[in-house]
Amino acid sequence: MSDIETTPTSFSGTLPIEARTVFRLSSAIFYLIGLVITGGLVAASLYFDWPTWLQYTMYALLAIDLIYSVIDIVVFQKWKQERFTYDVKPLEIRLHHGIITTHDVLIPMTKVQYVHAQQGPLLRKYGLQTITIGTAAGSHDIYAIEESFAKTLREQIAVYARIEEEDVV
Amino acid sequence: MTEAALTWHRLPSRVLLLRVLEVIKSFIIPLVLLFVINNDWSSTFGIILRVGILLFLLLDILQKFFGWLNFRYALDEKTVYVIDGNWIKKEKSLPLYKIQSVHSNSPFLYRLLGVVELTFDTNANSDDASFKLAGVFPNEAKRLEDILDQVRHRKAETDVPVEGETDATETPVAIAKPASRLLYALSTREIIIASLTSLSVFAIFPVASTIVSSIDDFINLDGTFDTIGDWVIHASIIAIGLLVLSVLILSVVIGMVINFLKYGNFRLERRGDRIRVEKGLLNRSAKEIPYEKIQAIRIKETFIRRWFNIVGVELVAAGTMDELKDESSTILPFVKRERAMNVLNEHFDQFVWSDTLHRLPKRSLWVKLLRISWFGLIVSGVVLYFFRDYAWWLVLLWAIIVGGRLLSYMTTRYARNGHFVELRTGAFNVHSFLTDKPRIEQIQVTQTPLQRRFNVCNVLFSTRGVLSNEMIEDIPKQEADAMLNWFSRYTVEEDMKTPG
Repeated sequence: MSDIETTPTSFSGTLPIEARTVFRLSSAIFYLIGLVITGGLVAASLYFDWPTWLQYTMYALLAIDLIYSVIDIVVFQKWKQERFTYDVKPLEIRLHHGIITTHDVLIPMTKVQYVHAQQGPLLRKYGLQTITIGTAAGSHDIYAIEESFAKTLREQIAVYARIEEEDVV
Repeated sequence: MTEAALTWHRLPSRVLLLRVLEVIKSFIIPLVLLFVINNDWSSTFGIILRVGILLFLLLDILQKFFGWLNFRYALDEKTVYVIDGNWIKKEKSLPLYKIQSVHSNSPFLYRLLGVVELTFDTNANSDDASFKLAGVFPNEAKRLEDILDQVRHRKAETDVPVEGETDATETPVAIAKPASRLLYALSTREIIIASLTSLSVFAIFPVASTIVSSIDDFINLDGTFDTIGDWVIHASIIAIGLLVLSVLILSVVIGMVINFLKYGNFRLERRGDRIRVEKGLLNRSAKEIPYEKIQAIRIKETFIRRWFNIVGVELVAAGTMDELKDESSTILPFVKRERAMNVLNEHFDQFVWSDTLHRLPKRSLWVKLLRISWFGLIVSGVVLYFFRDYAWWLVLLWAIIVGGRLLSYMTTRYARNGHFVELRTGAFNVHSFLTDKPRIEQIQVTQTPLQRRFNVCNVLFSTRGVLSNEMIEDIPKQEADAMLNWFSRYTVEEDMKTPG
């Protein structure tokens, strides 16, 4: 293909804006389940006439769940998308992520053992994919990047890391 | 191809006896309970229970018998073949050159019958990539190890093409088994000192109470211990002191016995390009680690042994299997620091220990002290709410928490020295970790908001292998950035000096 020449030697960037929507939706689902459970507990505490302190505890749980879910969905998921950056170079991968605690990861290409792509229903709806980069010491995700770009990136990492070569030990 | 020419071996027939003994050993508690202590065949339920257990035992032994019958192995010059399985036959073949090391293990029953268990380990982490001969005669074990040694030599020769023809005449000499050189043997004195300086001296109290209460479940001891309780209340302080002292002495003796059984006859040998560790009195095991699989070295100092300058040295190695990983990579269990450093500098010189290490700046101490101790808060909350009478114990708790943080500030050191990075961490138990750049798989720098305020961060170094992560906490951000920079493949090689 002719676009090999135009392939940049380094891929760096942030997550697309759609990723934010996906993050928000998936954490909304998570908190909805939490709300159903805590709501059920509150209802049970009223219906079965549990001790007052237990009822208050249930109310408190519900309130915490509500407040935290709002903060998480509105602020944290936005930060999760904004604050993620990746930089894939021929010799190394750098990832920077973190909502409150920041993480800087540096993986030399030679240590990369596999690259996976995965896609849940939410990601599929928005045409995104998550790439997992695995080394002998653990794996790291580049979540929610655009599908076709994910494919290019994955293939490029595989080429850089020469994964196709059989690793004879 | 050569399948027909293979000679298939079974494990020796006494292994069958070994399996039966192992089955009986695993059933020993129900057997003793049902047939010795309480041999009662009068009720229908009792008969069903006992017959059932005997049937189950019989089935298990039958299964072991067929397992023994169906297990066969064979070798040719290049590959080892194993056939295994009662219901589902499995055939495995493993190229000999892939076998990185052979571990032999002889638990007590094995020694009784004069056989050893051999584990052939490849460096892959999956279970499939290794296999086990559970019970072969020592001479057979030696034969297999010799074959593997030859394979390794052949491989080493083909790997390194001989440049000068003059060397060719000398190669046959090199094929001879590499001489094993004893690097270290544990002395009785060291075991005794180690037992005396072990904190497990105090473990006797919980252990004893567990034993007493579990015996109590079977045999009624109620009265006995109540009288002891009465006696303690009425006894004089001297008597109680003597009692405590004798219990402590007893526990030292027990600790000594345990250490002797575990580390008795401990030998560290070097055989060519591999390290061999043998240890144990009743359960004897031998483990081999190829030099190139060593990922890092860890020196451990426990709280008490630190005062006596006694350290333990461990290797972090890649590709060791789960069952072998714990303790087995200990190459020096407890030795004087100078001795350990001598062995390390002489025989593990691919890792260079730094002379000077950097301390943390003052602000790291503030971060450590300001960090919220959730554990301390929760325990304090529970104690203050439910057990207010014991509140003064909290002073001790917080003294330990704060003291631990102070100690952690004082012990944490780090250095980058050429290709090497050395980290010293821990509060009460300190350990030093040394690895080099090519062996680090990844570096992760994390920074919490509190750390951001003080401009410090944590750095996590990962290498291959089990227990291979090492975290250094609250080092200056510039230093962490410098480490990332040092690790980056894009930084031009230069002798970077760490800021003081």
